[in-house]
Formats: sequence, C-alpha cells, structure tokens
Amino acid sequence: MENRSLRVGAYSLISAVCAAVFKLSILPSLVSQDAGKDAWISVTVIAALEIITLVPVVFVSFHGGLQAIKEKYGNIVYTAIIVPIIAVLMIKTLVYLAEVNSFCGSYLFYNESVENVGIVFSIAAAFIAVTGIKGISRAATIALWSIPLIFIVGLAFGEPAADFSKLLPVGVTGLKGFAGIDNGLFFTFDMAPLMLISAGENDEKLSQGTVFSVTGVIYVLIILFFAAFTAVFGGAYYLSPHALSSMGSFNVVNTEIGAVDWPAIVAWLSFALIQISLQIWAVTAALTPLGFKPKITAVVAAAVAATSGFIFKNIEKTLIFAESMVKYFTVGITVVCAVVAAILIKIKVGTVKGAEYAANI
Amino acid sequence: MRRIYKWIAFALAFLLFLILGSETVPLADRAVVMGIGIDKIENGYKVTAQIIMPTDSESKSAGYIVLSGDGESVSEALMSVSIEAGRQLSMSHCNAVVLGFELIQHDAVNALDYMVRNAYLSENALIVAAANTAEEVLNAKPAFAEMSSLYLQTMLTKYGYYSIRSGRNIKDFLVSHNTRSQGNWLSLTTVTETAGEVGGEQSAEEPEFIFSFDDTAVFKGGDYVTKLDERGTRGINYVEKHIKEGSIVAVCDGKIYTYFIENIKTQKKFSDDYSAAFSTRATLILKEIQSDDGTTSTANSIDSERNPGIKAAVAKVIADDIRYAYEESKKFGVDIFGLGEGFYGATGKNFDPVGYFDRAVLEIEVKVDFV
Repeated sequence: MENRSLRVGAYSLISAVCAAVFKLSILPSLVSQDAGKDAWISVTVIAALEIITLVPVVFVSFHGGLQAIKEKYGNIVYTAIIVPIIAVLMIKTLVYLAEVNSFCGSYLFYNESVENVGIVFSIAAAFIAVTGIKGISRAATIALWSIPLIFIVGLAFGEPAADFSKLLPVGVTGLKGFAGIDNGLFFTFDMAPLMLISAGENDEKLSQGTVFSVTGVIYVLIILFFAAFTAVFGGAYYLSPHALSSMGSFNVVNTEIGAVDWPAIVAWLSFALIQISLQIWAVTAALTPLGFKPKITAVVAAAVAATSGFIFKNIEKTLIFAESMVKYFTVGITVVCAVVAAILIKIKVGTVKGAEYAANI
Repeated sequence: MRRIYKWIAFALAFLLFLILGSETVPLADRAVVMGIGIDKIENGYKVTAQIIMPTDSESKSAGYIVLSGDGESVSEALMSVSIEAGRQLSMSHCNAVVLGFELIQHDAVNALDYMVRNAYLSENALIVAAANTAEEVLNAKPAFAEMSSLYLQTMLTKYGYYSIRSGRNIKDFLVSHNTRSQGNWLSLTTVTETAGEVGGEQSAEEPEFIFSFDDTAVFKGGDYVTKLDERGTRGINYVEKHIKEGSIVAVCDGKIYTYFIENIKTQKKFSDDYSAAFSTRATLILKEIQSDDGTTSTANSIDSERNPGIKAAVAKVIADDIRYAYEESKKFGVDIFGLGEGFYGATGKNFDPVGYFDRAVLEIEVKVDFV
C-alpha cells in the first residue's frame, strides 16, 4: 500500500485546497441569491463552522488517520465509519465533476460535450489519484504557481473596478445574511479526504497550529473574495456562473487580447482536478485497509465519476440535485464522522502521534 | 505505477477525447460574430450581426459581412441569421452590442437577457445605444476604420478615458439596473454619412460614415427617458469614470484658458441626512491662453498660477457640468449618480425609497491642480 502520510506543510496545502476550490466558482452567485450584499457574512459563518469541524479532522489526521480506527477497533467499526464517508466522497465527486463538465462544455469550448469532458477528466483524476497523496500534494504545489499569474496578467491588462460601498449597510439582510449559505451548503465542508491522510510525519518544527494558520488565512481570503464579488457585481450576481473566472477577467475584454481570465481558468481547473483526484484517492485509501486493491478501486471510482456527464447534463440539473436534501446529508456525515472518529481515536489511540501509524500501516 | 500504464492511460484519454461525441465544426463553417445589434420591430426583434469572413483579394471591403434576421425573440432572430449565413454563429469574439433606439424605449434589459445567458458572450462586452437603428450602425463603414464594431470598441473602450466618451459594458449596465435607483446610461451613437473624401479615396459604392459619441442616453428602470448632450456626458464621466483625456475651457479676467485633462476622479460620500458630497480631484495642463484681442499664446502652469482666480474658474466649470448632468436627469426622475444606493448604505433600514430623491442634497467640491 502506498504511503498515505504527509508532512505538515503539504497537509496544510491540501487542507487549503479543500477549503477553497469549490467555494470560488458557483457559490458566490448562489449565496448572493439569498444573502444579497451580506454574502460575505454568510461565508464567514460557514468558514467559522468549517474551522471548528477542522479540529477533530486534524486531530484524526495527526493520530494516524482513520486507519488507526481499524487497527484499534477492528473492521466493523472502521467500515461503519468509512461507508458513509465514501458515499459523501463519491456524491461530491459526481457533482463537482459535473460542475467542471458544464464549465468546460458550456463556457470554455463550443464543441465539447459534457460527457466527453467527464470521461477525460476522470481518467486524469484517476491517474493523479494512483500516484498517492504525495503525488497529489506535489501536483498542488506545482499548480500554486498559476495563482500569481492571475494577478500579474490582470494588473497588466485589466481595469479592475470594484465599489465596496455596495457592501453597505452591513447586516441589513438580517437572518438571510447569516444563513444565505443554505442554498450552496453542498459546496462546503470538503474536508472529508483529510481524515484519510496521516499527517506530521517526521515533522518536529510544524504542528497542528500550522494547518489552522494556513487554512485560516485561506478562509480570510475567501471572505475577501466574496466581498470583492459583491463590490463588482452588486445586485447583478446572476451574471457570473463562475465567480473566479468572472472576477479574473478584471473587467476587460478586447479584440487584441480577448479576455484575461485564462490564468484564473487554468488555476481553477488545475485545482478542481486536484480536489477530484484527492476525493478519488480518499476512496481508495479508505477501502485499501479492507483488502481492496488501490489501483482497481481508483479505476472503479473514476469510472463512476465519469458518469457525471451522463447523469448531470447541464449545470441546472446539477444545482437541483446539489440544493436538495443531499446537501444536509453530505455536511452532516462529514461533521458526525469527524467527531466520532476523533472521539474513538482519543479513547484508544491517545496521544500517540500519527507517524508511528504511518510507518506501521 | 509502471510507465507503460501511464502511457496507456494518456493514449486512452486522448483517443476518447478525439472520438467520443466531439462535434468538430471547422472554422470555415463558423460565422465569427464581431458585433451584434438588436432592433425592435413590429412582431419581435431584428438582430444584425457583423460577421468576419476570410479575406478575399478581389474583395474591396475588409473581410466581413453584415447579416440581419427577424424573430419573435432574440434567439430566434439569431437563428435566422445563422440560417442565412449557412454557418454556426460563434459569439466568443463578439465584444460589441448595439441597441436600436426603438428597442431602448422599453425593452433594453429584456433584450439583453439572451446576451447575458449566452455563456460565450462576455459580460465585459461593450454596449451602446444607437440614435437610429442598430442595423444602421453596424452597416456603416467608419471613415477611419474597417469595421464599425471594432471602431466602437476602440473609441469607447480602448479610448474610453476621454471626457466625452461614456463607454460601458454589459456588466456596468446591468449592475446599475439592479440598484435601488435604477438610473442608467449608455453612449448614444450617431452615424452620419461623410460629405466628401475622408482619409483617402472615397468609393461611390461604399459610403463612409462619421461616428459621434457625444450624447448619452439616460434610462430609468431599463427604459430610455432622455438624452444628455456633450456637456451632460462630461458631467457623468467626471463622476463615474476615471478621466485621463479631454479639454476644459475656462474664462477668467476676460481671457480664455484651455486646459488638457491629465486626471479627473470623483469620490462620493453619503450621509444619513440624505446629503451627498462629491469630491472631485482634477489635474490639468494649461495649453493656451486666448487674450481679449483674440491672440492666443501657448502657456504653462506658471501662467496659471499667476492668476489666482483661475483655479476657482476651472473648478466651477467642472462642478457646473456635474450639476448639469444631475439636474437634467433629475427632471425625468433619473438618479443618474446612484444616490439611492449610497443613501441606503448610510441609512440602512431607515432608508426612504420613495422620497429620498426629493430630499437629496448634492454638494460638489472640485479641487484643481495644475502641472
């Protein structure tokens, strides 16, 4: 079985990816429907709840991951925990891949069918997933370099225009401002894959605090992004089906250079692929201790994911599903499993650090 | 993973990508739309598309054609254009949308609905109103350019920082529409056939046109209500845009001072007593002074500073233009500077949505610097 441990720095990066990627696409528009100019308040609430949920998740990771539960409690307890997690991972993979399919087939390219995109993306995701968590983190590290390019190109060619007075008055939407995230709840709490990672291997300098620091900074940036989205689009949020791409155009399109949103598109697609790979990897990492072969599991998971283009043929159908009761299921399972796993590990594993389990599994 | 399996995976992905349901439409079978115009007709809409074509050495004009189609809806009209062209319309390079004068009377926002939902048309595309029909604008060959859609983009987007050009994109228009005041504006484009030779040999078969962008169409709730002349256009631009080019003429002590604009920008502040304070900062370059006897002389900033009254005179010119745009729009109930949204930000739940405009007091302060 491939090593499923990561150093703290790499784990922090993966945690940041989980926190950000699918909050920066369709979520700002969804949240703005209910929360209006207080969309940034809604995402602040959810960021706080996610950080709280991250406490048991990180605890689990720093104590060997979910595999530690199998070692100490046996297959039955372990299976009881991972089955709902796998369900959440696969549902999220289907929906997120459907979102990518729609973005590529309806926005980027004229000639590509969503079925096509789904198949090709799932093959790429499976390929990255079988390289293991270290390969995924390396891919994420490489993709990081696309982010400064967004700002370089935007500042060079764009004409950014944002009116932050559109955020005033703060809190005027009342309860809707705090609960506006309800529509887009599905696109939150993406930290389930982290529980399959064993973190802190040979790391003496960095600790759990590093994870919260890095992820905390990312959440602040997400909140600022939502605020900037409202400052740019105001009440016309519906113009933006993909917030990062729209904001990444920096208010300009012209005949000579076209739109300048391509760095944002490249960055988002890269990280979307990494997130989907991570979820497929997490499914394999969850099933491998039960005797399933990891490569076959990855291929099967990817094959299931590839059906997203056939199940959800457009973004509207995807959203109907994502806004149904399934959103409460995915969030509830993630939170409950994180808490239960942390309690179980605390009871029997105690303070033994994850490195030992990573070495022994 | 063994290297051979990786290559197999890549090859499989590439093969699937090529053969699975990919509808390849060659470029020759596509009509690349560079500009689109929408007019209101009796039973629906007329859409005019300026489509770029491969250049032909025997062709006199640049490689484009203009096609029009009718339909009960904008999408139906576009379909008829596609049928007439015999090609699939490609909107990904369409960066200019022209709305005809009949259309903007009542239907501007509805007509834009299709454009907004078309994923390939950027919300940053230029949008203008036509003083007559959009078809006329797109069919007019500019005297100084090849295609009217490209010319519009050059004049209103690329050089949109001029004081008398109010270029806006679809996003700007719809963001303004989705505010409490719903005051809105668009550049009102007029095309006039040239009387004689302009910039070269004039072909009798291909008349050339002068495009004018001095006027601004003003909207309330998505409907056209009035137009502002060049002075009103300047007033709007001094407040809503960052102006970097243009000229200002001021009279002081019997002399006429002509300034070039280096920079004009305005900050807005709103109070909960429904007073709005506009603070405009202008940086100007003195170009010439015309004396009482009609003689002109080139000048520089020192000459400006010798006359203590000139700053106030210039500031008054700018402030008057802003006030003019505000008052002329207010006559038609149009809150052109979005005071409603600003007062809502200051007052919150105590905001008076009906009476705020009558209660509004606008104070304009202009600070002038010379370079």
